[in-house]
Amino acid sequence: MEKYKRDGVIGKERNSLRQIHKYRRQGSSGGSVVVKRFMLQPKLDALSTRDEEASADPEETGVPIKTLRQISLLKVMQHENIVRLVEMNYEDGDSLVRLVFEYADMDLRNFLEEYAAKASDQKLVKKLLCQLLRGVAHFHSIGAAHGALNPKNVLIDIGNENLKILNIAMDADALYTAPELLLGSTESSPAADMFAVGCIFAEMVNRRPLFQGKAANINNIFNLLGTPTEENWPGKLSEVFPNLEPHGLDLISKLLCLDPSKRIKACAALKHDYFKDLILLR
Amino acid sequence: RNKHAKKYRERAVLLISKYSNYEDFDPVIPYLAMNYFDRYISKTPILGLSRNGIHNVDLTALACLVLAWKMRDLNFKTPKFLAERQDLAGVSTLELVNMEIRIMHSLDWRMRSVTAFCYLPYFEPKFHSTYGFSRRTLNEI
Repeated sequence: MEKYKRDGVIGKERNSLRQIHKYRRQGSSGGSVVVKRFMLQPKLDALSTRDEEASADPEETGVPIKTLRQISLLKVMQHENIVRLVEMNYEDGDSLVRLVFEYADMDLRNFLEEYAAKASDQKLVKKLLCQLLRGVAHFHSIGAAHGALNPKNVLIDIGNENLKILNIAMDADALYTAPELLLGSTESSPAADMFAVGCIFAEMVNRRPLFQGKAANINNIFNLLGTPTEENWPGKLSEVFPNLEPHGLDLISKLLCLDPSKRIKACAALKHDYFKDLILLR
Repeated sequence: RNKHAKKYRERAVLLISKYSNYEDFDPVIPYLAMNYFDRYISKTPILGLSRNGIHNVDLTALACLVLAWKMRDLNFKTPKFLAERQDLAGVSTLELVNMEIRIMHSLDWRMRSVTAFCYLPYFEPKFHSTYGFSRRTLNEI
């Protein structure tokens, strides 16, 4: 790890207190990376009650199932809108593996705060949303789901306006969690990802989070989307997004659909009329 | 060396089919395990034919099976797996774990292998309409 220098915290790991740090590459190449550690086998010594091992299942031996699945998934993920795995290092007699991912200039949250003028360009919002949907569609096309989409793990390169999704089992943010998950379902699903995309889209349009407040925000969701029937939703949504064009409003209502089985799919969302006038230079 | 690989493979097929056969077992598991085994021995022409060598083949096959099972079943537990198979009582968990990690290294964590089963969801509706195969027949394939 001599090549890298610690450069800020970007989030917390799921089910543990460990923080995930961002590192800056030393030397001329520059650029930032994110490092995530995985335990490959529970330690047998006395230190084994610390952080990440604490949540390990004592019945499970060998390479943990979640680690196995996550890393093998990362290995097949190759998409321009998904953060690339740069290298893997083994440590501690192979009982620990360290994954290094490329990082972009900043996350979406910082982008919306620091580049307010640029971020208010609705054409750019459309371009970024399209890239977000493409990345998410790639996850879903190989039978996976992201599970924790939020503006902290959507990364932006300022220069070329590229967007990349970071996928490292971070804590899900309750403000972007789909209602079915808040109500007790535990499986992350493609449909839940789409709800998070809707929240992120809303945040890009209004430059503030759609749902605010403390953890359980199911009441907020119902206040905005709930009880009303199909007909009177768009009314309420258009009050929240006065500047959004009608196609965008339609897309956002389909992304935030309360019923996960009726929520729009990533590939369908990419064909939505909202993107009709988008010309991507590739 | 080729001759050895053939012997190893035969042994692995035997072991993997023996220990994967279990109530409600997922038919993809043994195929996936053999995929890992073949890729592993093609990269690691291991194991002399010493007494220990034979043991290593068994251990490799077993570790491949465990890894395949973990990829398919979130609730898989190695101790339970070993306990349910009497003749595996002599297997050391630590050795098995080390073998798992060695295989992951060697296969570069590419465990989402393409097997013939990946294409079933695509072909299944066609089979049904044309030939009237039952789901059970397909499972047996």
